Amino acid sequence: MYNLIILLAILVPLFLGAAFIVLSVMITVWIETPIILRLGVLDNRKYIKGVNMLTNVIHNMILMTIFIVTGLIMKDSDVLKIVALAWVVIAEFALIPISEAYAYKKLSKMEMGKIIGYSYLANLISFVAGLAFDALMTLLTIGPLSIVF
Amino acid sequence: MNQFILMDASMGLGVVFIFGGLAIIMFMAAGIFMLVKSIKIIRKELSEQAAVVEDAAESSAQEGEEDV
Repeated sequence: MYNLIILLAILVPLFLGAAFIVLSVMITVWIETPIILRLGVLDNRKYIKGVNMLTNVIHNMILMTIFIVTGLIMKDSDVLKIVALAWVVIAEFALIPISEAYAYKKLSKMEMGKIIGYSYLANLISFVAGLAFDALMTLLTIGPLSIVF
Repeated sequence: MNQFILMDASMGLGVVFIFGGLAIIMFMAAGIFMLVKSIKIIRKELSEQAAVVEDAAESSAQEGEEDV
C-alpha cells in the first residue's frame, strides 16, 4: 500500500506535466488546422499540424522557463506577471502568426498579405480557446484546492 | 510544538517542490519530444514538395525536348 502511494506520488505529477503541454499544444493544432485548410491557405494537413505544433511547443516551453526563472528563482510575483504577460503578447500577436505565415508561404500559392491575415485570424481564435482552456484548468485545480484549504 | 509544525511545513514544502519539479521535468521532456516530431514532419513535407516540383520540372523539360 505504501509503495503504491509512492508510485502514484511519482507518476501523477509526471503525467500531469506531460498532459498539460500535450493538451495545450494539441488544442491549438485541432483548432487552427481546419481553419487554415478551410481558408484555402494550404491543403497539406500534416504540414499545417507540424508548423502549429512547432510554434506552440516553443511558446509553451519559453513560458514555462519564464515561470521557473522568475517564480522559483527570483521569487518575485510582480516581475513574473509582467514578463509572462509581455511574452504572451509578443508571441501570440507577433511572433507566432508571422512565423507561421512564412512557413505556410513555402508551400502556398496564396499572396503573403492574405496568408498573414488568415494566420492572425486562426491564431486569435486559438488564443481565445487557449484562454478558456486555462480558465477551465484553473477552476478544476484551484477551485477544489481552495475548498479543501 | 513549534518544531513539529516547522518540520511538517518544511516536509510539505519539500513534497510540493518534488511534485512540481517532476511535473516541470516531464513538461519539458514532452515539449522536446513534440519539438523534434514537428521538425521531422515539416522537413518531410518540404522535401516531398521539393521532389514533386523537381519531377514536374524534369517532365516538362523532357516534353520540351520531345517537341523539338
